[in-house]
Amino acid sequence: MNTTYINPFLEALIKVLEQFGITGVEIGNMEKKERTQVTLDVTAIVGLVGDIKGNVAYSFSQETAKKLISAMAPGMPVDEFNMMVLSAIGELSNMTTGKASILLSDIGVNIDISPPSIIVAEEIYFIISPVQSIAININTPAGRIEVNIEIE
Amino acid sequence: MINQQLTQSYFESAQIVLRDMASIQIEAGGYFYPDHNDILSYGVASIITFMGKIKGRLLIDMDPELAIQIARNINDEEFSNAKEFMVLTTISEVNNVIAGKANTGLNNIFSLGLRLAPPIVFTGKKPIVCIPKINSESIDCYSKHGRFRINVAFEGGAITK
Repeated sequence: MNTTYINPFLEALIKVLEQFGITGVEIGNMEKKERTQVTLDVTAIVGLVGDIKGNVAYSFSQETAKKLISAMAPGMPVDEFNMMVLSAIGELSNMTTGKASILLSDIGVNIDISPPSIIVAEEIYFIISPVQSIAININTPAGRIEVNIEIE
Repeated sequence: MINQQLTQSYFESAQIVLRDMASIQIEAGGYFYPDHNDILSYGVASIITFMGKIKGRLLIDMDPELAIQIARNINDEEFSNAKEFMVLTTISEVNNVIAGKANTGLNNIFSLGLRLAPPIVFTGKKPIVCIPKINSESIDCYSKHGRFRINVAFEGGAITK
């Protein structure tokens, strides 16, 4: 898979997290996966259609999700994993993918993004591509985020 | 409330595709109903999103036994676990065909220009699916091999009753 299409998603995630005061984000190695098994409980998936087609999935633990959402709403610490957290996770993935679509359009690749779908499950096993996807671990002060990207 | 012509297209497409591809008959257990809550999956689910003049999503959800039977009938192979790669990719492809068929019909009627993203399929321990801030309707169906649910969601009120 062409990394030209991957990097905008990583850059967008870093920028969105920085916007909420989360700095010191480290990007791990890219890993090819044929089957995606994620041990993190919460996954937000956004579909991509346009010059390229695919899906991007952002996975978090419930603890990381709560910490991220607390950072998004300063002064309102989130202690409980509830509908508000899920909605905010959806918004975070929407903002990130939206920003990535702008970065992609800067290099002449135009895409439209779908509303995020959020899946919560222990040991979720999903396939976002019948071929292969790229997994990247992002370490943040709030915890690990796993990003899986599949582009046809 | 989502226009009935939209939701009904996905149900009819699912019925035809499962009958023609997998020789499995599904019947509606009622009508489409607004379903804004989190959806607790029956076990195996596939989501496909589409974009055009409006944005939306089709979710098909089923008991693992039904997923295995669909994969068995389509591939003419034996499977024992819904987590098997071929079972999941078959369900994913079935969803792709269902959504493609329904969207082609809707594009012809409403000129929506809907294009599909690739489908995703998942399983896990009691997976819950939610799609915040979007109108969503479900229909509960059944088959000889297990439960089947269709959930259709559209962003905004572009084509509502």
